Amino acid sequence: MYKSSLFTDLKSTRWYLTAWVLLITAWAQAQDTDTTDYSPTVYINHPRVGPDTTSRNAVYVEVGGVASYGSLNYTRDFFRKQRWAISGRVGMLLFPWTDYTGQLAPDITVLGGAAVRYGQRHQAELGVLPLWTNRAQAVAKPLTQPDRVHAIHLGFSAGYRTSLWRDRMLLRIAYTPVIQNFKQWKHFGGISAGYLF
Amino acid sequence: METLWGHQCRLPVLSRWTGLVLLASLISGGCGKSSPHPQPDKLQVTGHGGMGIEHHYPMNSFESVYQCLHLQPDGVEIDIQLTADTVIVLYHSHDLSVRTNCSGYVHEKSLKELLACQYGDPMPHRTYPMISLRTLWEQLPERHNYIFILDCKTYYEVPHAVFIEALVELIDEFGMREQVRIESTQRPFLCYFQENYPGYALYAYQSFEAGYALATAKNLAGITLDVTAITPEQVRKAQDAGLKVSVINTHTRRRNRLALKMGVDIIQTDKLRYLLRQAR
Repeated sequence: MYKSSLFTDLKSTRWYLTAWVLLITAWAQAQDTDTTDYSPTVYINHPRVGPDTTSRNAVYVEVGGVASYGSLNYTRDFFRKQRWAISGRVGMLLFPWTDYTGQLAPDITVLGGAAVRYGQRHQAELGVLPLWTNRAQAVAKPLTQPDRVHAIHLGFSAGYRTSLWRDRMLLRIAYTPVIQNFKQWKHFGGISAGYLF
Repeated sequence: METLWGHQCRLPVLSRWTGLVLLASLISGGCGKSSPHPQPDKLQVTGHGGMGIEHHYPMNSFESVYQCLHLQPDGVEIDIQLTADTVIVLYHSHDLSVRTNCSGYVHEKSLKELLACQYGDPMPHRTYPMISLRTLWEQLPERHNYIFILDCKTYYEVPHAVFIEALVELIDEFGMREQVRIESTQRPFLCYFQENYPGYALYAYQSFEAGYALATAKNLAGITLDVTAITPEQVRKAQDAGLKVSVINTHTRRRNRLALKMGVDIIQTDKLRYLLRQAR
């Protein structure tokens, strides 16, 4: 019984291995075929003519940035001309999840704005991002019962953006100052990574 | 058998009831602290400035202190300073511009001016107001269940007598004498306090040699030290002399473990959740 099952296992393992080798070979073949279907300069050397050849949409996570701890963002290019692009961006942060009394009541940050980019694969970016925050804070007595405080701020971004993995991965680094309550400058920065489509 | 309650102990009944009480306390939730009163003979875990230096709530803000106490440690450490109108407020640094959107010094400002100041978190658009010690205690109905380590910051030429009188008056008003531990780096401050208001738990916050000498000479309650600046032998020496040992600068897990290993009496931790897990 033991021998038989071991034999069966070995046999099936061999089958799995064979199947994997076939799949990988087929995939490699498909890759070769693809490169012959398209202009080799597009995929091998990435010499794009302008932003028109790149993906218009991106979903990415920014660590730091105008939303402070980070944010989940969506951007879309709605205007492109040669090396120039203008994009809109919306983003959100829910952190911390609980207030200071331990209740589930996340601080909310919502941001939205626009950015101008210049370049091909390597792009310079300049953006303006108003943002709205709604936080739990001890304001009115009793202080043990949190109040929700909301405010509007103005953020900016000046940075560098590039795409990797055949225009599928977005990388971005930016200086992201914020005018807190439209009164006080706060210097900050952010690093982003995400998916282009 | 005579028990602590002064009557004969009937073991079978007691164990049955003990079992029921234990079961009930387990069912009603392990989150509740059954005996939050300070127990002087065991390790006391306190939050440094509330939730510590790296937390998203700024140290000494109401939010930070309240969240700390919500986690039910033995107490909290806060930094206090005296305003121009002799009110005690919670603030750590010399200069207001270090941690708030104001500039100048606490002792130059009135309470009204300071209440307009906002702690600026290193992160953008996250601000929290400063508070006075009176407001903190007023707003904490369960304040008697916790110890409050009051790190008295006397950076400037504020007369010690004025500071101490204002502090003692407030402590007496709120009946917090048993709960407070007064900490200072200033020898004259501690000496004046001990000579004029004996019976308070005073801690010398200096080097081991200086703190030990002062505490033993003036019969203080204990010493406060950086956890990296004290050895297990020194901890034992201080404890053998009847002093409590309180340690600060425990902002990493390793340093918290080090403090636990050395057997200190009080840890003012910046990793409160971690230390509470370890201590329990």
